Amino acid sequence: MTVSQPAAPPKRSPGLWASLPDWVATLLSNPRAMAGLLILLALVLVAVFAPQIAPYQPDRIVARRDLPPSSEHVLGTTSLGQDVFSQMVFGTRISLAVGFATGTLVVLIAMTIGITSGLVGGRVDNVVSMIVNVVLVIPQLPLIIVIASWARNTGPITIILVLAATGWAFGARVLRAQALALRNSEHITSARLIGEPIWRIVFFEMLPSMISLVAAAWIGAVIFAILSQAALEFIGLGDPAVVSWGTILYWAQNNTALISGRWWTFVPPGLAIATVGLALTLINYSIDEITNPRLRRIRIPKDAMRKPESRPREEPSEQGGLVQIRGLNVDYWTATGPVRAADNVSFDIRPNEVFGLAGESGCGKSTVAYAISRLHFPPAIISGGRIFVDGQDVLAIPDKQLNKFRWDAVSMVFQSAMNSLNPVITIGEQFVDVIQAHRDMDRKAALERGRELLEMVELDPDLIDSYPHQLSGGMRQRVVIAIALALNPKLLIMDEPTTALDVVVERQILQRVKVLQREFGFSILFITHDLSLLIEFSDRIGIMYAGELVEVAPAKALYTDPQHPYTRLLMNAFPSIHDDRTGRYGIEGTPPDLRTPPTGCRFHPRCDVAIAGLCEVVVPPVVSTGDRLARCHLLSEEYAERAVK
Amino acid sequence: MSRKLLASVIVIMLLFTSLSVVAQDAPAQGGSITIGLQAGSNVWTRNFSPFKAGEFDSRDLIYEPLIVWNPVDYSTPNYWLATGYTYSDDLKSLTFTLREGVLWSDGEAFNADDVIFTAQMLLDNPQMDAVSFNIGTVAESVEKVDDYTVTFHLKGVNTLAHTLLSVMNTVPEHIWSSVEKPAEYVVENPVGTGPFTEVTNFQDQEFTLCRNPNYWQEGRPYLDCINFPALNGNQAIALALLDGSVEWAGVNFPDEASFVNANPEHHHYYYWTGSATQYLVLNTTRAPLDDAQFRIAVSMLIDYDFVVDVGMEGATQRSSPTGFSYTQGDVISQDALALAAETGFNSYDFDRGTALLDELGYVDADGDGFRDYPDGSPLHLNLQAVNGFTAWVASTQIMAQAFQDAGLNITQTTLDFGAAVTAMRTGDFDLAMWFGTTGVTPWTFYRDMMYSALIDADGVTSSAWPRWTSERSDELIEQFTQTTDAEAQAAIIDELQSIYVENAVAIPMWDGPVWYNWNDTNITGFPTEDNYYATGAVTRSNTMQTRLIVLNELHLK
Amino acid sequence: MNYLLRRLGFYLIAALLAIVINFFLPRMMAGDPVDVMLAGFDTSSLTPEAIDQLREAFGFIDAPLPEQFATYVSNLLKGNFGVSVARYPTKVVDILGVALRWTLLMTGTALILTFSVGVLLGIQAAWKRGGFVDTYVLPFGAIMGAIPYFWVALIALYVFALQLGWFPLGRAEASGIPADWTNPNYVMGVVYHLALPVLTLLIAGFRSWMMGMRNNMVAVIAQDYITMAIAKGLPDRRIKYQYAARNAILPSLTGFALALGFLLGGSLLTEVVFSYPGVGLTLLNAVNTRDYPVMQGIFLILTLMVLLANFIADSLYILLDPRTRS
Repeated sequence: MTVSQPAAPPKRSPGLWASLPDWVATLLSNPRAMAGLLILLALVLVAVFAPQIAPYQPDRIVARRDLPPSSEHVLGTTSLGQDVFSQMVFGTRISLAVGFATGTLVVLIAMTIGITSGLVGGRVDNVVSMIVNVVLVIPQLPLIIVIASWARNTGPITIILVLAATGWAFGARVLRAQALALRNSEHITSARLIGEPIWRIVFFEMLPSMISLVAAAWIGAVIFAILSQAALEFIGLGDPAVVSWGTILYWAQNNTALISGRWWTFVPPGLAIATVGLALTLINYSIDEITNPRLRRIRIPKDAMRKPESRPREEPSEQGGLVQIRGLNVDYWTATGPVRAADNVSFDIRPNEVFGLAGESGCGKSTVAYAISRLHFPPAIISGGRIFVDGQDVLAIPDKQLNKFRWDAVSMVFQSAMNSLNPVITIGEQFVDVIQAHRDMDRKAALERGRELLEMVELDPDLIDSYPHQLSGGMRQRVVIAIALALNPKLLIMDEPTTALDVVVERQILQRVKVLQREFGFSILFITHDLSLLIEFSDRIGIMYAGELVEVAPAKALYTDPQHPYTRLLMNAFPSIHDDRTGRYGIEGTPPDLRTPPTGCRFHPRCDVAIAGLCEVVVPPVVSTGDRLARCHLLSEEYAERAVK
Repeated sequence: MSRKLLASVIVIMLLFTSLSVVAQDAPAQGGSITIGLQAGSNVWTRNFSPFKAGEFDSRDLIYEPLIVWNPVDYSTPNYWLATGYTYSDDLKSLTFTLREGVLWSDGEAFNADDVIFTAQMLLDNPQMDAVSFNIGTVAESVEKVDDYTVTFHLKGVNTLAHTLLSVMNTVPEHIWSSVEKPAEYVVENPVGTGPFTEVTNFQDQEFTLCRNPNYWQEGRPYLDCINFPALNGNQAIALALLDGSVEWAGVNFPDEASFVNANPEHHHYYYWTGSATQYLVLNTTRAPLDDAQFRIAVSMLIDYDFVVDVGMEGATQRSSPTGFSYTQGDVISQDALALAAETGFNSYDFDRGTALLDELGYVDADGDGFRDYPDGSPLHLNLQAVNGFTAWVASTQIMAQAFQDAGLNITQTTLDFGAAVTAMRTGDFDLAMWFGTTGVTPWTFYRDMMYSALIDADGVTSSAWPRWTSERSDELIEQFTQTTDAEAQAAIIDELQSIYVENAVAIPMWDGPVWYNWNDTNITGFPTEDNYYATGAVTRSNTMQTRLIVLNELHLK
Repeated sequence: MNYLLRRLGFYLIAALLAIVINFFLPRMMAGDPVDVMLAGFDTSSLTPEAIDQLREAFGFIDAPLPEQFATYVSNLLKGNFGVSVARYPTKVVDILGVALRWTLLMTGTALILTFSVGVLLGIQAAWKRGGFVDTYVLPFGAIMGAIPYFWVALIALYVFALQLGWFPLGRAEASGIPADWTNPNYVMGVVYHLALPVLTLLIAGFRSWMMGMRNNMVAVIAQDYITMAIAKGLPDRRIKYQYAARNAILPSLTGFALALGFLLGGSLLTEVVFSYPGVGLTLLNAVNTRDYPVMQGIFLILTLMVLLANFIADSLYILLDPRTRS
């Protein structure tokens, strides 16, 4: 059993049992799960057809005692002269039956208690979850031994009951957590509002989405039961007249098979138990991977991992920007193959400039930002292009020297201020480590520098001794900015730095950054989907759509004269800064699925001026005019020619 | 070679020869032995009180009995702290004369006061007595005659009193008289008269007892010390025997060949089979087991040799139909044996058994493959074994198969020891494997098995498991203790045997063996199959304190 | 501190539950402990009166349950766990004292080892996906997790002690060396006897920590502060341990009870296989002799031990997670 966190509730409605085949299909497509299922199936068959498979009655004395394996007795005989192989075969019955029965009982109890508790909530839930936790904290095996020892005749039924009575708590805790999470999900809340009866909600709404957890709990309980049964029987707390794997071990131990080297009586039961355990574990891990996608392993072909070839062969231009991005491709590998999240992106960031990058979420703007610091890790791979920062070929930096490059030249403020700081060490430590990683400075000096930086972002320098959780969101973001400026970087990337903050705090922080930028003269790559903010804050702006850069222009020019239809729609859609910003962008349609991007111009399905027969067929060229460029057929000469025709 | 050197060599050689001459007369002192007791626990707690239950038992090596009874030859008492005993003419009191010149290990002299103090303490504290020597069941009071003579006044006439009272281990009055609660007294450093009294090492899993500097037996013990590792269970002891770390133990080594083969020269075992019989108890208060003919039929279905060979792994022999070991051949009544041969009781004859069942009317009436009662109602019985007693579980498994083959629906059940004891005491069983009891005379066996006074009004008993009684047998059992005439006693025992066989009171299975394994690499003087001068039991019990004899004989090679 | 107080209250409730279970279990059992005790001795001539006297001596008296319970709890508070039935008149506390020492030594050593090894391997498995640990040790652990502890112990005893003779055949101390912890020979003997049982526990037990830690690490590695730490150009070691592992270990500490329970269960059986004189073996002996006072005492003391260990884990949690301190 492993401690895993409850999976997040599914976003999509699972809809009755419709999701079940889906889930099963995923499981069946997993080779490890298949192996596990096959082993289990084979064992179940052995159990069912035990009388047909076993050559002898398991408890009958059929030969001399202690015979080593022979053709007549494949696994030899016991100290009574029973056929070990037949005992193993029949033992499968009892061991599996006890395992499955206990597992089922445990899961039923756990489900009843867990789901009721999670669903009812409130005081009932408090009491139940405390009981569950108390039961969990009491050591199980001593409890089982003590209970089993007063049970008069500890046959399989008693063992099942004892194990179920002590084993339900773990499943109940997991299922309760999940039920609680589900209860608060939109889906269930709305079902309750509609007035669906509770049992319908439980059986048709909750259970289907919990099925994998229930399965995992069942498997865990079965393993637990089989191991515990063997342990109890081994120490003599079972009924030794019942033929099971545990009692075979018990008899082996009692007849000191170990000393006499009669391995055939004590090795097979252990291996059999291990086989069941292995099969179930394999299935359980697969379920784990399904519920927790992070554990999934994605195969990336070796050649994809190679350093991208320096596609545009040119060297960084002298008068070009501080940052020059040329033909950047970034691929995300999925189970079905690569998805291009940034496609042939090229732009420059000039010294002392604020460059804004905008677009809907998933358009690839963060992907580009991460690429500049080489922050992509498998399954994300930079598969093409070049990036120069201050003349340095970033993609050519050897892995070992990467740390030197990071933060020193390019530092970054991340999307969620709340989570960018390590919660368990002080702010001061987080200054010290970055400073000491790059500069030859002692701890005291580094801390002093940290206080200075805090002051720079208008924070009380004494906050240096605080932990992140003691600070408000705005303060934390200021801390992150302070850390970002610690090494006087040439480029500061701000990846939606203010999404979680309120407008006033956002303003204050950005104004401060602007002041500092003027003071220290670094460039900023500012990423947001808030176009109004961007126009106000940036010198130049790039607009991305579906992994492609579709327009780059000076902020004012973009505002007054958007060239790309997408930019224009964005401008119309975003509310002014004085409006309530909770509203969403109002462009019709949804961004395309990058696994199957639209042909031709990627924007054509949503474009209000798309040209039929052209836009969906031909990839538009990048049209550059003066200090701006855009990727649209409307701007190209070809279109002009067509228009003339 | 210089003359001087030659002279010294000769001197040394002479020295050696003189030493070896001495060694031939009496073995040299020195050395130690490690013995493997079934500890019942893997940790020693330091308490050398002789009045405590279970655990490690070195009590007889520290505090000695008055007489050591040797099951190999019960007729010859080994006088220990006593030098003799006599009954009064009315047989109501028993007088022991005590050995003079015995010192306690702290140098104080041993005398009658110590014996009287010990006996009186047990009489005053019945729970102490119950877990130790049970003298209160026999003795009413104890009286000092002189410094070396003690008289016990008995509760009634009991000519076995000398065997029951003489096993008591005596503690020193000068130590124990100042103890307030003797039942809870924890003895860390014992003072006793025994051969090994000095605790030189006490660890959680091992302690060492060394020689009593004031031991009364001249030149004994030969060994300096005994190591007692805490070993629990057959497996632990067998492992220790196997690797040579234990030199004397008493386990049923599952595979004797593997023990002997590990060191053929020095590893030995011998299982003497004169100990208490183990038998199949039939609850005679329940139908159909209340029918003696049915019981006899059941006894014919059991292949005793096979059970002994497989269930007991051939470590013992089957018992005689009278309940005694064939080893005690002279006790067995020939009349009773002839009777058994005639009725077929306790001898394997499957066909005769099934024929008898048919004859008695136990046939399959409803066609379910199992025999039913003569009135047609279905018959089902349980055959009880104790969980953990592997030989019993195995044997009952074999028996149950035979019964099933004979059409008797008798199924095996295993109970935990506690539950099994309760079942035996209250009579809540049909058939069960159980121990017999043994005493210095054969009388003990029949008294415990058939004496109606041992069964209370509710049918609860602590030894008369079959619950079969008769006026005649009660009479005989009582008469036995009213006489000291050996011939009269022998006649009583003979008649009891016939009664036992005729009524098939219980089915004797096999002789309880005295498990005994030893390793004579360093130490010799052990009882052997050829010279079994005392039982090789490494543990003591009230009826078997023979290791005192053995440990006084053991010496370095 | 509030957090610690809450946990303390929780453990008190758990302890109370253990006491309640403990009190009722023996009183619900089949078979009379006095019968069992007598059966072990040579007391065939004991009269029923004598038996009643014994019953009284061992405290199984006729009194209403609440009264018995009150007496029981007040006895416990005085540190009086009763007297062993099978080893009368030895006090249960004395038996437990010795057994607990060895169990603390073995389980404690195994706990520290399995925890350290498991956590380090878990860190490694998550840190280098597709690396050696992730590819080989993880599945190995999965297989080991499916094998009963005691069977691993049996095989280890058979192969390494009996066949190869590398380790002693069980027990805790070297023979013939008086117990003296200042004597290096004695200590060496103890270590020598400890090695194989602890190694089998390690082999069989590191997996639950490893799996837990790996899953936590995988979750933590996806956190923004890890990305930021990488972007900061911090040395790998610092990110791995100070940023990822420090955070990932916290859920492991809250899951401590469960993992400790498994380890304890395993170590009890390992003691049985290796004749190791700890609580597990004492428990088994007590079960076999139906020594209920000892069984009760062991169950209670083990529960209290686990609760204490959990409380220590909680304190550690506070030390490691500043968020709980406010």
